Amino acid sequence: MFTRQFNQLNSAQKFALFFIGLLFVIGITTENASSKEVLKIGAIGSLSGSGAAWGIATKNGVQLAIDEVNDRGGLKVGGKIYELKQIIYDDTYTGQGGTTAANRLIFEDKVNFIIGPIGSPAALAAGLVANREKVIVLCNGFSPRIIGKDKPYTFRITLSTNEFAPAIVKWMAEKFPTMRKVAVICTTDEVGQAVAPLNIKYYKEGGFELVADERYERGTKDMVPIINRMLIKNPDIIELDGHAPGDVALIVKQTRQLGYKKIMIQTGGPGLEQVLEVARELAEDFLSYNIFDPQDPNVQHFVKAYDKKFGGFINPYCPLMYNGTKLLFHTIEKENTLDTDKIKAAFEKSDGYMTMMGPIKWTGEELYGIRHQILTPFYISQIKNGKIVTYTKIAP
Amino acid sequence: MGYLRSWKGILLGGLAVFVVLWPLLYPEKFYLHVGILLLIHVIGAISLNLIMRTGLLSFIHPAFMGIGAYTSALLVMRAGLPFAIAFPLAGIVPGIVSLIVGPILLRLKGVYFVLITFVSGEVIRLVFVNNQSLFGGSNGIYDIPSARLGFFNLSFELSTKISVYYFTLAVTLIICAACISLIKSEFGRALNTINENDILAECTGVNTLKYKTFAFILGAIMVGLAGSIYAHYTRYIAPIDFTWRLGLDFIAYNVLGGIFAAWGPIIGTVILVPLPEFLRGAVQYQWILYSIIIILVIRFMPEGLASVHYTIARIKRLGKVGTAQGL
Amino acid sequence: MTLFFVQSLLNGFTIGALYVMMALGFTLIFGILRIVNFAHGEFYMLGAFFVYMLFGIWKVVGYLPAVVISAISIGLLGMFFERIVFRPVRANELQVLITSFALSIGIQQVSVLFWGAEDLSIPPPYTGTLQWKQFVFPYDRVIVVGYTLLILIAFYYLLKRTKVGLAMEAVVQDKEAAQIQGIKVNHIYLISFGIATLLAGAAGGLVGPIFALTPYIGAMPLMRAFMAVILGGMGNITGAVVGGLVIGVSESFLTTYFGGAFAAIMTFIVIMIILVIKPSGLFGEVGS
Repeated sequence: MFTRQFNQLNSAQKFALFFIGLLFVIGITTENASSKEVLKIGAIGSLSGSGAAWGIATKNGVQLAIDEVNDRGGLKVGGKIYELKQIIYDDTYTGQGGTTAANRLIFEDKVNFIIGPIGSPAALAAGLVANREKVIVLCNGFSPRIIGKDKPYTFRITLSTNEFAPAIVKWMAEKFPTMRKVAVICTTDEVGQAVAPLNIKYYKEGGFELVADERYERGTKDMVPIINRMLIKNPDIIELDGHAPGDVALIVKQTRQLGYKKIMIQTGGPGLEQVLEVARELAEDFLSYNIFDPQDPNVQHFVKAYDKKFGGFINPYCPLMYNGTKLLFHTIEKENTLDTDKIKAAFEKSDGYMTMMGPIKWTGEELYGIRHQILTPFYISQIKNGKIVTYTKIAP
Repeated sequence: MGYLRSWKGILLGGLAVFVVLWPLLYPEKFYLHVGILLLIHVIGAISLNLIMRTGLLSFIHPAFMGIGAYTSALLVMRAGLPFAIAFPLAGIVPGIVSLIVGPILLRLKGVYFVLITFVSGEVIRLVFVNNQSLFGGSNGIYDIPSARLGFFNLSFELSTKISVYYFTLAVTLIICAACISLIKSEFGRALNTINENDILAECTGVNTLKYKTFAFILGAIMVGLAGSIYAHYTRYIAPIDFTWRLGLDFIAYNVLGGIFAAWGPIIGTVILVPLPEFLRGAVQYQWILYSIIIILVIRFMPEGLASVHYTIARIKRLGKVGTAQGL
Repeated sequence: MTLFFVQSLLNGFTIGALYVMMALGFTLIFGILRIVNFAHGEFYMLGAFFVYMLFGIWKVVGYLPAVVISAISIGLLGMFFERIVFRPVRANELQVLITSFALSIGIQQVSVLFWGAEDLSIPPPYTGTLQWKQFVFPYDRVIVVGYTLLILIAFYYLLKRTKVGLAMEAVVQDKEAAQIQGIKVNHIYLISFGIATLLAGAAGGLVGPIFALTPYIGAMPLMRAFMAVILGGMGNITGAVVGGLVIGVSESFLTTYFGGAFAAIMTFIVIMIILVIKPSGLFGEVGS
């Protein structure tokens, strides 16, 4: 009908039309109509860039928790039943991204609850915005400043070095009494600055001797020069602290290739699947902190649901985000309110709540000034014969 | 007076009214947030435009913004200085840095200049990252207080989005007015000649190094001020917010809007900054669409959107779309 | 101590081999087309991923055939991009830069859609290490150096002994004169871009099994290619080879003896000094 007019346009105008049409289409392809009232649950994660694995872990973990509630009819609060919907925005792993995502969720989508971000820059930034507006944030990040008295609405729902390192160091001292010399390797960015010093502190307190402390720029793929530097000092234990899974895998592979035969452990991460995938037979005997045992009968429902809906590899942070979201829903229904002050208070009293990994406890008074750090049981795993074997379960 | 009554005058007037009044009519906090970021990026784009007119792409620009941000934050938090003093210093400090490195960097041209500014920007970022005690290292500086304007006992804290918006608007308008008048003056014409043929420019008595340095320093001062506004608005800065990626954003705003049009950088920013917000419906495709849009615009409208009349004129003349230099 | 010295040197050469291949492609594109190809790292990344698919997932061919097929495919892909994306904007430096950057982001994000963001690995085709006295050479690295040498020899032959190579050099020297001689400049551009991306793809395929794969691995080789080419001189082939080796070896030494953070800053500072004192690099002509 309009072909003649259309043909009379020149290329630039056609392009402009197409462009506008594209924006229009995208803008429209979002909401579905629904009969029940919808409760939006906010989420923030890195959906692009190198932190994308964690952003997707957040997205999937929250979604599985939401699906469970929706499948049984919806969330019952104050006499109403709500259908839950996740709204997740990309924080691009930066402060500006975290601020913008939080602003949009809080002021535009009007959420009261945000799950995520994972990653200190975004988590710190989002936390600033959220706490001013009394929005609850359940997040993660290795910086100790993520939770604190000045942020009463932020809770950290994953374990940080302070929570698992001391117990692991103690286990190491008992299991390997003759291995005393520790070499620590880390990146120069926020992980290196927040995490590695804590690992070092706990090793020293545990009676170990620090023989090397190496730093390198994130993004380096060839670790051999740095590893050489460590090997010169002849360590018994090489500690990989807060490294991202891909980097741990590379370091393990390259260190073993150079002939190092003693202990390698990651008190952080974890990244066992990646180590196995990339280092293969060189991953043998690698030890690590672990969050989650996929063989545990209690988590099978989660594993099956994840497999069915998303397939593929389960990032270890996913079950933690899932647990945190479930606790949120449980608390909302129990307190029968959406008021964030009441939920916040109830959270603080939710010790003993049973997750699929065991009961939780809240801690943090001493280290952070506020009891907003979650504690769940965790594991030490080892790679043996090409499989991840769960060694010990440690309950705090 | 004739200008004011013309097409352009009316359009401009209407725009000015809109820009000043819309927060009072639609005080949606999220829109205010985007508006503030937009204004900050407008300053970044137009301050970069001065040096881009000489044909140079500067990737050190975001590092200057970072220096301004850190200067302002540290002066207020550690030295206890009032914002009224920290703010101008946030412009002066990057200005001094640019005064020192400018004459060295500006001896290079073309891709060499791109590379050396890229590398310099990275070095500055590494300085921030590796100094935990002074700059907070990778985690940056947290909980920066909002700007507090005031004399003696009367003070006014810029703690609401609306107040920050108006303050930023005022600063942006002053900077834009300054830049546009510079661009239209003999200074701007000198910059253009340096781009077209710098050897010829030298022959006609234009001291290219002096003009380039001047443009470079001015740009650094202005974007430093933007950095200060950013720091006291988002109240959290980290080195990761000032990488070359931001530099590329500023360059993209200029290219999209048109480098040699007075309003080019502003138009480019106004389109590209809110764009990711429109594309959020397709979260995982956001970046792909962004890059396709950039490639298409550069392919079909290389003079930028502000000069779309050139594109139309060329199409009329040649009957097809091509680049400025022809196929 | 000599153990670590020699180990460092060896390591520097193996990494240097990778940088040489990247630098060669990069300098070829700049020398002939005068395009700074920001997306060059993505071709490296795609080369690795193609081998991952051919050899690791579908398992249809052996490792070496996979590298060859992958390299050729990447070369063709490069030619496609040159023709469709770069040719129209080629004349304007600014536009080319922005376009190549947008292209790099686009390719990266499409790759994330296909392969996700987690680390993947190519099954190692060569395992084990060569032990000689106290020196340890992982087989996979040694072999990479070997293949790189072969590729370099082939490349040198192409450049100096074939008609295409001579035509390429002619275009660099004087585009108009070459056209008068009957050389189709557009074809030469297309072929040069294709060869350059083929080299990047080959580098990716060869080095892929040594390191892990994510869609973001292109950034670092790109940065190193930039540095090598600055050092050696833009558009200069010998310079690219020397530059790549020097960057590789010095990176290895600086890191081993001074640590990673220091090495990063030092490398940058040295590059800056070179840019200021002799921007055309060690082998370039002044003002080129």
